[in-house]
Parts: sequence; structure tokens; C-alpha cells
Amino acid sequence: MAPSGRRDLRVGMASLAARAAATASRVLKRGGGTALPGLIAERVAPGLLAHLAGQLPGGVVVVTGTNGKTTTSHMLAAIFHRAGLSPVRNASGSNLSRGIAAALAVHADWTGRLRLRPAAPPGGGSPGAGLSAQRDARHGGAVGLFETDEAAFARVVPAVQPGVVVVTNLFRDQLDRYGEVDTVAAIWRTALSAPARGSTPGTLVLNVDDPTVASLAPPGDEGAPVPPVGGTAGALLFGIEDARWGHPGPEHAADAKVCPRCGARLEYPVCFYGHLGHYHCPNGHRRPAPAVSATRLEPHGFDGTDLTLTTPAGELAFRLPLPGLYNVYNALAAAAGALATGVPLSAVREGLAGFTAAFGRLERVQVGAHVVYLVLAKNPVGMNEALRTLFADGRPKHLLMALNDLDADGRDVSWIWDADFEHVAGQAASLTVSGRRAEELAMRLKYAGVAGGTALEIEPDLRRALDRALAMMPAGETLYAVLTYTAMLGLRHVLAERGHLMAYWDEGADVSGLNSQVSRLTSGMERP
Amino acid sequence: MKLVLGHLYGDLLNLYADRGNIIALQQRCAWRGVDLEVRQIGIGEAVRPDALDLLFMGGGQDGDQRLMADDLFRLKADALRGALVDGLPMLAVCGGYQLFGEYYQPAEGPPLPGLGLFDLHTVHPGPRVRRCIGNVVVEWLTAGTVDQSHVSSRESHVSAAETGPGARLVTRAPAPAPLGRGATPPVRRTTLVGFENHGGRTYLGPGARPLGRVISGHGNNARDGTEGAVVHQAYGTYLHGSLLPKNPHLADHLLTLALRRRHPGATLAPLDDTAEWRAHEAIVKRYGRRGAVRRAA
Repeated sequence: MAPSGRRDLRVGMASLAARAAATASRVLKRGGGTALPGLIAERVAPGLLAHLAGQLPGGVVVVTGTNGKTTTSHMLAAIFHRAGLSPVRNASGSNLSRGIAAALAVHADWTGRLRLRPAAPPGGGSPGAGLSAQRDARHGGAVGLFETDEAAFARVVPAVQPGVVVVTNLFRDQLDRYGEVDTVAAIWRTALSAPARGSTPGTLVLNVDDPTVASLAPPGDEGAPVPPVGGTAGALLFGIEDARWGHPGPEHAADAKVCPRCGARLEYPVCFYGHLGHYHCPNGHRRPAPAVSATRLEPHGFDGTDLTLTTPAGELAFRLPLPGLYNVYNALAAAAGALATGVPLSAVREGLAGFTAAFGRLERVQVGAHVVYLVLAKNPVGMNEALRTLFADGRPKHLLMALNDLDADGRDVSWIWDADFEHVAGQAASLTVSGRRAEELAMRLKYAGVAGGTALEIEPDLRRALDRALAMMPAGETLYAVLTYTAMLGLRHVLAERGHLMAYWDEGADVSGLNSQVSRLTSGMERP
Repeated sequence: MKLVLGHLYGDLLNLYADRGNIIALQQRCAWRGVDLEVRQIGIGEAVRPDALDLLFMGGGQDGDQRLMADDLFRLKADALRGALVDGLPMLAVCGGYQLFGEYYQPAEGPPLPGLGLFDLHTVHPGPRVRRCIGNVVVEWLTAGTVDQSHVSSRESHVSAAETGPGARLVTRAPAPAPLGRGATPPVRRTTLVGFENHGGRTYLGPGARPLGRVISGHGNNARDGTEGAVVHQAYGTYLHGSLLPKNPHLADHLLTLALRRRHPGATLAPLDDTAEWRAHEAIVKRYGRRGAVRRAA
């Protein structure tokens, strides 16, 4: 395609420097090679992010929220591919503004203009998918798809001017890093209410089952979501309507207990998990009706969930090949986000039905005679959902659980007391506990009543913990590794070293900042 | 045997895993055959100190704390002041700790009154000053008079328990541990470990004694080296993480205080606290050196 956008030599220089840094870091195997290049790019040209993002012909979609943003982004990317669009993405885990800057800088030339290759044909998809979008792709169907964490959101949104903002949920997570839930909500509100630069304001795609997220809808919009197809600014709300899978709530780990509009206590006739559900307050503020909703869902354990989605563009029925209600929410967020960008419904179905798990989110790895599932669980609600899904079939499982307290995990591990490890009691065929805070996790499991029935092994070193866990299992059995973020990176590192898995830097994950920590962790040097 | 724990606004103030403290008390009672009933004291409900053996208050978000502030002063303040003087064992963590004080001075605007149970006040230094966040290890100043012998040694349990004359365990600077009693002298663990995350700086008046002296971390105000406060049998602290599971000596101290109000001279049966002390020691080892904890982020 022809280069678009203004020349900006400074952005060009920054991009070259970023690319050089990325190459160097790849050669040196220092990790994913996105954080440092992005840092350099933003240092050299502070306006780089805005300059480059403005050149994306398909606009920008930003995904944020506590849980599910990586999976939702992966789902959106799959849908975009099926629609013939080519998403430009920041790498998994690199959801700070420098990760986004790096993702764009590698596509920029020395004059500061984006040079994007035409969209690749949708890999493995049906050739008829999204014809009109494919036509668009030849005219530059590149769309920015950026996930950003709660804290970086305020910097990213004004810079990239997204046409669509997807907010998955807001749970208590890493209080030491992000501050309290109320603080995060206030930051979001400020970022979203800032006047758009020139263009029309974007569409907010919001989880209506999360009261704080739903309250981000523009005033007057919360009751009557505006279908944004066609570029209308407004909110597109999504949620689960099938109340059969809820129960009266909320759960004790709830973060949103008071009505965001009037401060009164919220009641939940139907709670799906955490504070997600159908709620109302005594003053008559209630959950608005979602435009994109799961009107029927049937879980089939690890095989996934049969879903019927009702959307402004029509109804969809398919099997989502991922387990758990939390993935139903991710699919809803992705479907609504895709529809908000004008992608056809057929692409939504194909993208979601053919989806495979994102980095570390229930990845399946063959390790000799064993299968290892990697399950990321980094906060109470994520942990509860992971455990609930794990034990849904009632069969005891071999478990490796690891708790780290590095910055990316959250240095404060008190969240484990808000997670229901009581689910594990009587369900573990074997249990190995690992990570920098292994002793604390083991103690939590003791108080959850786990220690009584199961032999619990404490091995802080991840490599030895994996060996020990596998040694306790008969051949052919499956090990479920439930891990916090850096523990997941560490275990993947070990699996990659042993040739069971591609190295993470090959998959574009951003771990450069964590790389040395991970190496030290896996080699056991970190332990005193 | 039965104990009743009053949990103030447990449905609203459960930030930073206050639930872990309740779980710890409940399990440590259950393991000894003591039935601990947790009674939620929510909005609109009065505090009846006579019906309680122990009281806990956690911290919440601003929005949640606003929701209960009016109720706290209208329905509960007087009863709590009476209970304090009467020796009801209490534990207040983080936001609850600040509320137990005389007042809270926000970065802007007039001071907000506290319950006045503790002679202390809290000042928020403004948004430009860093929050106090991180792992904390403190030296527990009252540890010396607490019966902890069951922690390490069954043999010393009986004799140590009998040294407590009467119902009250007076909290005072520790006396040297009597060593050489039997083959294995009791290991006296005098550290407390936890995680702090607070913007406000708390300053003690002469009517409150610090709970501990900071070994690493910030504590009350990142200046005078104190952490927490003790008044009568009430304890306040910034340590969560959760506090009581990984400080079983403090958990048992509170339970002992509660037990002895009803059954003078009663002692707690020893428990196998290997897992608890492993978790405790791991933190002391990693973070318990002076300067081992990074500056507030």
C-alpha cells in the first residue's frame, strides 16, 4: 500500500532506533524485544504513538479491564482475520503504552510513515469470509488492536484516539500497583470523558453485568444502547441474559458493592461470579439491557460452551471452544467489539468458533507421556473461575500451583485469602506448591482444608516443582498448572528449554523486563 | 466452648483480604474444638459488647467507608468506647485502624473525626507524596508477655501457661525469655509480618503504645519507626496480607485474651503451626533485613 500520513523525521528516527533495539534484543535473546524498543521510541519521539496510530486506516480498538483483556484481544484478532482485516497488535502482556508504541514503530519507515503490508489471506478460514472487508483490506484494512492495562489506559486512549473501546470488567487486582477499584474507575472515566481530538468520539463496548463498567456509558445512554454500526458514537452493552447459571449474590470477593450512581447498596438477584450479574439498587438504578447478549449457554466442561448470542445484527449459535463463564464474557466482549467496528456477523462466528487459547490462558502442552495445562490465575475472581472450571467434572486433578510476588504479579499476595481455595479440598489427586511465595500459598491451602486429604509438596523452585509434580503422576495423566503471571512465564521458560514449547520470544510475548527475573527464578538463584 | 466474634461491616470493609483474618481465627478455634461464631454487625445494627468476645474491623474503599461513617457514629461509637475500657479484645486493620483514631486529616478540606478509641491521628500528606506500600517486618513489642510456648514445644506449654497470673495478660515491654527449661528452650518469635498499603501517616499520642517497631517497611508514618497501636486490649495495625494466618502468635494472643475474659486462666491447646511459621520465616528471611524492602512505589 502507499504510505499514508504526514512525514515526521523524528518519529522515523525513533522507529528506526526501536527496530534496531528489537533486532538486537532478539539476537541476544533478551526476551520479547518490545518493552525496550518501545521505551526508546517514546523517548526519542514522545508524539510517536499518536502520530502512527492516526495513520491506521481501519482505526483503533482498545481493550482494557482487569480480567480477560488478552483473551478478548486474541478473539478480536481472530475475528478481524476472518473478516480480512489485518490487526496491528501489541504483544501479549506488553500492554503499557511503550508496548503499543513498539508495535507501531516496527511498521514505520524512516520518514515516520506507517508502511503496512496488505492483509494476509485469513489463515485456514473459509475463503468467502468477509468479502467486503477483504476488499477494504486491499485499501489498507489495517486496524490497531491494542490491549492496555488499567493504569496505562489514561495515557493510551488520548494518544491513539480509539474508535472502539472495549472494557471487560473491573476486579480487585494488584492494589499495590493500580490502587483501589474506585481509583481505577475514576481514571477510566476521566480518560473517556476527555474531548476527542478532531474526530468523532468512539463507541464504548461495555460489560453491562459489571456495574462499575456499565456506569462508564455516556449519561442517558445506559438504558438505550445505541447500535454503533455506522460510526455512531455511543455505548454498545454486552452481558449474559441466561440467568440459569447465576445464583443470588454477590460473592464475598465482590468489588462493586455500592451503586455507582447513588452510592446505595446493590442487590444481585442473579450473580454469575464475583460482582458480575443482574443487579439493582433500592433507588431504582438497575442493570441496563445488553444489546449483545448470551441468551442461551450450555457448558460442556473443558470442551467449551454452546452459545447463542443475540446481537443487533442477528442471532448466532456456535460452540465456543473454551471453558468457563469468564470465557463467555470474553467472547461477548470480542463479538460486541467486532460488531462495533462494522465486521460482519459471519466473521464473528468463524473467529470465535475456531478460536484457540491465548498465551498461557489454558494452553495445552505435551510433556513426554503427560499433558500439562497452563492456567493463568492472577486475582481472586480469576482464581475462583479457574478452580471452578477445573473441578466442574468432579474428577480429582493433579495440580501444580505457583504464587509469585514480582511487580507483574502484584507484590501484595493477600488476594489469595479472597480466592476460594476451598474448591481444591478433596479434589486434588496430587498437589505441588511453588513460586516465591510457595510457603504462603501452602498455608492458604491448609486453611482451606486441603492439607488434610492430600499430600502437599512445597518446592519454591519451579523447575524442580514441575519435575516433582510429574513424578507423582501415572503416565498419561494430566497436570494442571495454576500460575500467577510471572510463574506462568517461568514455567513456559522451563518447558521451552526442554523443547516442549516454543520459546516465548518467538511468539512475541513481551517479557523482556521480566526475562532476567524469570531466568533467576527458574535457576533458583532468587531464593535466599 | 464457644466464642463470638463481632465483624464490623464485614460486607463492606473487606479490602486487602480481611477475610483471611476471619478464616484464621475460625480455623484456629475449630482445630481446638472451640466454636467461633462470626457475627456480622452491619449498617443499622447496634454493637452489644456483652454478647461479644472479640471484635474485628477491616478497611474499605472510600466509597464503602462513606456508606458506613454516619452509621458508625450514630449507632456504634458509644458502645465501642465502653467495650474498649471494659477490655474487649479488638483488632482494627488499615482503614479500620485509622477510624479508631481521633481524626483523619485529608490532603484537602477539614479533618474527619474518628471514633477516638486510640490516641492517634492520621494525616494524608497529599497526592504528591508516595503511598506506603510493601512488605513489612516489625518487632512485636508486647511479645514477651504473650504465652507462645505452645508454638514450638508441648512440654513448655503447661508451665508457661501457668505463669500468666490471672485473667489479664498485661502488654508491656518483653522480659528476657527464661532459657534452659527442659531440653528444648521455647523459640520466642517476636516478629510480625505483613503487607502495608496506605497513603495516610499515623502519629501516636501518649495514650497509645506502638504495637511494634519497624524492622523493614514503613509502619505508622515512615518516620518514627513505630507500627500499629495498642490501647487496653485493642490492637490496630496497617499490616494485612492477611495478618493473622502468618502471625499465629498474634492470632492466638487475641484468642487467649478473648477466652480469658470468660474463663480466667484458660489456655489454648497447642497446634501444629509448621506451615504458618514456614510462611512467616520466608518473609522474615527475604524482607526482614533493614533496607531490604524497596522504597514505596
